[in-house]
Amino acid sequence: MQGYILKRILIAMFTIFAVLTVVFFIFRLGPADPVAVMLPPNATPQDAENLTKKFGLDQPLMVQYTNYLKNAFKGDFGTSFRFNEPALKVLFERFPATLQLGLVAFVISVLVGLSVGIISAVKPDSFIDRIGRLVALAGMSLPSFWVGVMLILFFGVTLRWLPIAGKGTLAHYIMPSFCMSLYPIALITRLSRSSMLDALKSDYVVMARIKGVPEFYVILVHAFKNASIPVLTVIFGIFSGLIVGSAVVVEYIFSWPGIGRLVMESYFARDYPVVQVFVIFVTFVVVTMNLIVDIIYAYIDPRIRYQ
Amino acid sequence: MNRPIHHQTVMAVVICTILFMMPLSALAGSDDSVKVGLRYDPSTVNIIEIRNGNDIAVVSLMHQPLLAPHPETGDRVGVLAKSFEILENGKKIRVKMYPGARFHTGDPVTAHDVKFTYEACANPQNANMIAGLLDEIEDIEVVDDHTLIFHFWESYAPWEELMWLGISSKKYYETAGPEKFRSHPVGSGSLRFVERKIGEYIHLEAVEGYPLYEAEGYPFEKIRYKDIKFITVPDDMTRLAMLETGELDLVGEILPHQLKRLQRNKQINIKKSDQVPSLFGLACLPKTDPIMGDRNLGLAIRHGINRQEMVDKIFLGEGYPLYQFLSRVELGYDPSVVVEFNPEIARAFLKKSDYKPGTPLTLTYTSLVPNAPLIAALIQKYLKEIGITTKLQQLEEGTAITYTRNRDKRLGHIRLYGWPGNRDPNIRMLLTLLSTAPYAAVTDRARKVEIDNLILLQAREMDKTKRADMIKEIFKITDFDAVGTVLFGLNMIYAMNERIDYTWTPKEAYFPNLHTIKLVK
Repeated sequence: MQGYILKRILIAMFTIFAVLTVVFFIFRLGPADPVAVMLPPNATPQDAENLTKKFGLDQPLMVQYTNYLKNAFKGDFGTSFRFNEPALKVLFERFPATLQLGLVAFVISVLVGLSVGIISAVKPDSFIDRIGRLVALAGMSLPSFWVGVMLILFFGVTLRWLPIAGKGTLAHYIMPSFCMSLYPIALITRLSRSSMLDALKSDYVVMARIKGVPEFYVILVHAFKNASIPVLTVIFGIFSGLIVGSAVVVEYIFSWPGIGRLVMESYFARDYPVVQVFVIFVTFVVVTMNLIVDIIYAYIDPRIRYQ
Repeated sequence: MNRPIHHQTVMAVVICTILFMMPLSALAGSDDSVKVGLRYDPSTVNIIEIRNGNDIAVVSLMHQPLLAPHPETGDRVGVLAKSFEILENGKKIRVKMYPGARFHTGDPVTAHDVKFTYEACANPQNANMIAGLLDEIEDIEVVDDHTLIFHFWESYAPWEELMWLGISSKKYYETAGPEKFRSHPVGSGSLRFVERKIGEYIHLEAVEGYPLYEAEGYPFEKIRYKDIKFITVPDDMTRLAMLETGELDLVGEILPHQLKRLQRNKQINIKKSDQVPSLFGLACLPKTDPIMGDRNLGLAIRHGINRQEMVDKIFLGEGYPLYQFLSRVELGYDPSVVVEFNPEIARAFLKKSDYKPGTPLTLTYTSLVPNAPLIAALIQKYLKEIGITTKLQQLEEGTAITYTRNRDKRLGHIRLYGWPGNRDPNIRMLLTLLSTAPYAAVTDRARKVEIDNLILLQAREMDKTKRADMIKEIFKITDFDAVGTVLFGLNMIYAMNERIDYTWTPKEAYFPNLHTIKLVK
């Protein structure tokens, strides 16, 4: 087991190192010169030279790369051009907002997705099942930016029930978290429905019913417990996906002050150090989540660690 | 069959209603607060580190400058400066300050603070957006607490363009330290800093007892509201929706196609100004391909584009054609200069040119220009009608800037640009028209020496009328190059809800004079 965990940790570390390297070379070898981008239009060639020296861009590429790796291990990913503060600090200042929204969306996704999935499986072709399947289809196919705009126009502007943007009260969470959770709800609903359908047809469930176990226990304890394994796999992925993926679009539309909006604004302002640190951070989150899932798998299923 | 209404159901409905109503009442805020929506999060609240125009709108409210734009005319008038005396034909400028100004700490605003602020802004470490311009100043001499002399390396005609910097407290910097100075700025303006939440808002409140003194040209007025919040909402649709619901009071930089919905809302007051710096055009780059230095091809392009139709179709009439490399509010702008739209003339010029029909010219555009893909497509259509083949190339802005700066051949033959705009064309001429300039399109024109001299001389000419004539002469000469063409300027459209009233100050580009907002309801 220890060997398995060690191997997984080494793979995770290698992945992060590879991303660090790719990010470095993409930004250095890409067509946009950071100095030209940073300089105001009225800058002189002397200003350009000073800035090039300041950021060490006059050094050979491999020297820059070595310095970059050294600084990265110390947590120094450069200074934000826009805020004139360490890029990592700028990112971490905004991360709690994303985490809060992500958690709310995650809870909604799991609660709604599982409930609808289970009910749909228990009562196939019922009204709830049909509605559930329709919502799942819509959730999978409707882009979040469109859903966000529609929510704003309907609940914000027309009905005036909900605040449109920002992060002030609990009500501010409703529209963005719903928007973020739409796709995960669809995913969990579909997955839990199909897993539950399989589980409900299995021999142990039939046996439980024959033994006279109450239906509630049959569904939740016997069927759902076994059906939840593939769902749990997806849930971890959903959480990291919510934080790093959906957040970019949803936070921008709802003006949520998290890292998703930060990276969009930084991209438009060509604040490359912040974009760079975002990519590295996202990689770190995803790799860490996958590592945790791998380790949990190994504990749950001994076949994996023997492989 | 009548079903009994359960108590739990009633309670759930009540709780839900309260939950829904709570945020709305909280959003309404206090009646004497003002909320302004911004597209970009200001990068700083520290005047010494301002990076872009968006920062100016916020920071300038906390500080008083030597000169500020008059809210009605836009002309620069003294705020901290009581008088200016031009010495040695503009090589030195003596400034006398009003003695009554005070920082929010209670300390007087002195000439030492002016010197401190200017030197800090010029320091490359602070990366201030106007650091390059401040290189014109050789030294600042403090004569006494309320008198100072700006020493320029040479006479500097657009000196007024350097006098709008808000003055910071030197004493506060020394006592509070650089970190607190950055995060909790202290100025002498009528609004003081309260709080900044990066990515969310910047909160300022009115300072009691202002104005402290009367200025001769500047109409100081008591602030009519209690506090102001600058709320960052990057998405255009969301920002305008917030204006409709009252979550924002004032929004600027509205694009014409976004107006339709707002116009239906009777609680929204829409205003427009055609007196803001605005300049969009096509830069033709002979360095990319020598054909672009062909005067006849340039003239064909100039006559072949229907600027008015472009403004009407793409910007729904919220703009005006431009024919000079000058925005409407800049010194030297001549409204009588017009380039006739005439495809026949354009075709005649094209025949005289060395352009080979069918050879594609690349038209580059970026997202920095509003509706750039539509503009590019329309230009492509106009040029096709006169016999010029074009292909379109969209570039990421950073890449386009790099290509432009390095004169990279990967940049297209023609580039669509937008210039944020100033009141004075000096810097733009130095950067683009001077034959040795970093962005010069033409470096070997026949009258190179003459135009280079004129560009340098106009910057030293202290007589405004003579200087305007020199600028006109410069543009007459560059007109002969026919490299590139100016297309149009756009109106500034801004909207507010009915509880406030505000009028944009002419000649200013970024939310000027927000302290003049009046509460109507």
